[in-house]
Amino acid sequence: MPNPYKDLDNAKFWKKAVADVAPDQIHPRAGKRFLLTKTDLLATAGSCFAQNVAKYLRGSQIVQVLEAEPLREQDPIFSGRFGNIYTARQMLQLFEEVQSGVIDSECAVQRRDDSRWVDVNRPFMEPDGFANAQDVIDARKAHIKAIAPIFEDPSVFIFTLGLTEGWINPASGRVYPVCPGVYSDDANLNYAFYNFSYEEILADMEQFIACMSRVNPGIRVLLTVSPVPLTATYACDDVMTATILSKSILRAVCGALESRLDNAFYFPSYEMIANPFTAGSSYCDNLRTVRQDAIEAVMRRFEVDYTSSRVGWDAEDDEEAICDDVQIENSMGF
Amino acid sequence: MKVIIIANCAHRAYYNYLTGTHPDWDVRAVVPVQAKSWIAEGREAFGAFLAEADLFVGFTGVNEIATYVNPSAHKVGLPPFAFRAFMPDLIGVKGFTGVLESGDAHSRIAMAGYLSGLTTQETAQLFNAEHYGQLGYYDQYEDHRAAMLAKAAKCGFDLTEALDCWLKTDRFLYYPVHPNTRFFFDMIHMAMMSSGCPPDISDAAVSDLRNGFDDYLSNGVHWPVYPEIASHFGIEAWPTHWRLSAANNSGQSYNLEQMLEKSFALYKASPDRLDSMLTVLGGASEVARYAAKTL
Repeated sequence: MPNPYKDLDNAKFWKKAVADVAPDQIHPRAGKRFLLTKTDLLATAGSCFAQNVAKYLRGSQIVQVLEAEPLREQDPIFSGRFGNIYTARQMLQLFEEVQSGVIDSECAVQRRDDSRWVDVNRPFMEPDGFANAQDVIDARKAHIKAIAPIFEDPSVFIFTLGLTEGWINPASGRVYPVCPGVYSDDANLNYAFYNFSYEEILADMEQFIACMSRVNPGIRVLLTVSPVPLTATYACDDVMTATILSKSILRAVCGALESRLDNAFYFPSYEMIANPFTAGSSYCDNLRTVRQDAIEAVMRRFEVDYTSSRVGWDAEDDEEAICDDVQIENSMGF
Repeated sequence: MKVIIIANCAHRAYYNYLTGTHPDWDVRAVVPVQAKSWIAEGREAFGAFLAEADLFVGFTGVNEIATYVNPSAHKVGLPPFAFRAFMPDLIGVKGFTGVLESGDAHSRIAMAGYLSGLTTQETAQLFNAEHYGQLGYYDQYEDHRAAMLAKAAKCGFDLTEALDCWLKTDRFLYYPVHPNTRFFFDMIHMAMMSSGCPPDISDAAVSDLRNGFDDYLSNGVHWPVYPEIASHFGIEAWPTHWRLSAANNSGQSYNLEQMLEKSFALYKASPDRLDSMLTVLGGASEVARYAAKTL
């Protein structure tokens, strides 16, 4: 029986891929990848970290990035003005709302600070709020109609999973991106803490990808996990323990999806940022915000892994390539 | 003047250039793998030469080697060469020797055809202009050009004019990492001039050296520039065939049908490689795309 590790490349060995590599050259890589071309149309959604990816891709001209709604300068950079989508359930919920055309009729909630009205599904999208509840509902109707192309048109959908913890309406089952009590005293709002399990998140993501694939055959879903720690937890563990549990679950879900679904892929930006093996931290002084240079390094690796013809033949290989097909001496003059 | 060159298959070209332009210099060249091996073995003569070198040429950023080079040595960095835009169908499967019987090069479409259960005849039909367009084979020129220029810029010289000139030259590439070796001549000449190290010989002698430069890579493997891709870029469709190395092998050439027959036979005999092929292509959905099949 031959040694099965014998012909494996350097990336499979810790010493060669991590321990003996300059910290800025460590390059975590998923084995299952695909090739992006300039004709690909991308849509992006997810947690706040996903904005970094969308921002970079919009500026890079590597691909076309779908913008279903015109973004204003202060808007979070996604393919529509839906704001941060932290949980898998929230993503599925938005997809179902778009597909059914039946909007969340209880979306209007009154803000604590100035009594203006906002959409509970994207409470920070309109900094000035709305004058009344009906205006919120009308805006949501227009928004839901406008963002339908983000599921139907792109060839690649990039989604960053952010949290397991969320706040849901026990009566309707709707999940909110932010606990409404943070910004509202609206007595009509009923909400409760909910920490989604691995099984629930996996089921939500499988359903989302399966449904989206039905309206958009050929869509490829590229998953990432946000490396941004929790701002706060409402679970019984402390915030560090809750963060690690949350990220571990989300990473495991990505692994399961990548393994089970042909059109699901994982890009290890989380591993690039949150690993303890590179020199220096990828985080700012608050130990939460990801440094800009770290984001740029991640995106450079994204370009290497997903663009041009480099899939399967790494740029670094050029330096190691030995051309044994011509009679070249390994050395001259020695 | 003691000169150490660290580079892969270009090291012989750099050696020929430096010994030709500076006949009095003591020039030595070695490929990175060999250099690392000698360092690991503690080969004294090699270590002593590195420690005494006045000039360090080539892959000056390879840390495992650079650490041992005289810190006062002048450095002239040269980037590894790779230009895949004219041969976008070629992909490497590490450790799996491909149809050229040397190196790990395979055809993406051939692998996808085999993995999808197509016949060689059906797979041959996929080698057409429209399918290449769907696969993005025409979209990679600017990226690869920019990547090569960026690598040169990182080494401190501007390769734009020379690269653009070479990219319009017929019969420039034998393989994505094997250009006509005069390209290496031009690159090291530019790098040396930029670095303040002009030749010790006359311009006319430099020109003669270039005209007679040993194009040893022409004897190596060939991967064809597919006619439709050549037509798209306005260059000659050359090489025309897949060719085994003439230096180290029979030099036998294959047309498309023969390449597919040979590839399929290879894949059939290598069931343990199917996972690697699937992975390197990017999974089942990508295999389906290359094979123009609906999932």
